[in-house]
Amino acid sequence: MLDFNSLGLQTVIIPRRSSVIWTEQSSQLVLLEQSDQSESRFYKLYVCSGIPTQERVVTLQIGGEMRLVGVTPDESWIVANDTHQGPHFIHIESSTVIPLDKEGMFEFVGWVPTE
Amino acid sequence: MRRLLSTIFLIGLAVLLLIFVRWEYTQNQNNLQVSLQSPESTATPQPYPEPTIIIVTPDNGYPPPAPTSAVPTSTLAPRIYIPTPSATPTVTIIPSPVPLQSSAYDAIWVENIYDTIGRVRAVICRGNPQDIGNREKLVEFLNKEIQLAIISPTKEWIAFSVNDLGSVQRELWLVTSDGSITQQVATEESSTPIAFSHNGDYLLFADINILDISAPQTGQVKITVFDVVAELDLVNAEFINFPLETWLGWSLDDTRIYYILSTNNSHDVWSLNVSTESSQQLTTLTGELGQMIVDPQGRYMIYGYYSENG
Repeated sequence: MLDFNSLGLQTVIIPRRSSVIWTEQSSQLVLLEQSDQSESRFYKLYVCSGIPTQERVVTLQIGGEMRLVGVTPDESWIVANDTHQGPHFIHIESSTVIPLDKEGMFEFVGWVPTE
Repeated sequence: MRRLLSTIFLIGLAVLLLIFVRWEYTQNQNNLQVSLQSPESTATPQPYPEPTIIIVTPDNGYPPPAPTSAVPTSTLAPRIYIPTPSATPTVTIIPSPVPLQSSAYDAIWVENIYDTIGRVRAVICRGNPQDIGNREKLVEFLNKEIQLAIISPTKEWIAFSVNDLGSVQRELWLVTSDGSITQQVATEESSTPIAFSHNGDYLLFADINILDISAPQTGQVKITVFDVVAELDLVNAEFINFPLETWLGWSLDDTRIYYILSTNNSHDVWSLNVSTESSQQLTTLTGELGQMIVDPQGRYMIYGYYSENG
């Protein structure tokens, strides 16, 4: 685990062309990496707990450069913003990609429990 | 003579009988032509147009059946299309390893919508990712844009700043995450970071005014802690010669606020006690201090520092 509550510095190698965000509990990093197959527009999502020993890989087929902007507290869904096609909601386990039909400039704020 | 008349009568009767039988036979033939229900009633049926029976099957639209299946078994049999097993479409369902599940969390996001004639409309939306078409608009502003929005750690409140298009003056607002309550907190001269306390009860923000136009990098800064529950200002701390680039953060126990205070040759991190409004200097640095952030757990401060020797 990458525990920032323990003293000392730790180094995590973040793949090039990745976007990184904290989970809400600040104990995990979530990476969205454009893989080496980027020319064919494939993306890989890495969900890491500290050092990448707990790594899950999801291959996505989305159009442009994706920027990871949010992950649910239970890490089942993420929201990523495509520079060309706009925001997408992604269900990690089923690799389901749901685009958001937005009207204007999009800025993600956060998650709240469903009522 | 009587015998001749009897013979003529019998011949006439036979002719009438023959005509009647002929007429009856003709009637039977006509019946065959209009009825398919009694084809066995005639010994020598006449050719008639074969009825065409069309059976609409669920696989209509798929490739037609093989020709052998459509050949009638006799010239009198109706042409009936009976789908063969080979004509049944093959549907392959590839189950997903894990089915799509609705999210236990709704997403909150901001959209600033600009039209072609220079107008802007700002909305804060809420929706479940699996049913994102049924989004809900929590607030909507006409002729304003939303610059910044954050959500409280308790997920109860959303704080956001709006301003008129092209204006630096901003309005600070609060809205509940269900959209039931909306209230304006302050009107300020410029935009600075805002931060909720860890318990979600207080909102921290700063208002900056440039006092000396010859030294525009510093000015008067008022740090405010707004009590979200009681709807009043808890702290109003004013500072002079405050750098315009202001970063604010809460301590883990929400009793202190961290900020950067500028002097003539240093930019140091200070701590402000929320209860007593007393300040304490935490660093003694000589040089330029860059951006400061407090980690979400409130345990560490991270700041960039440029020393005098580089």
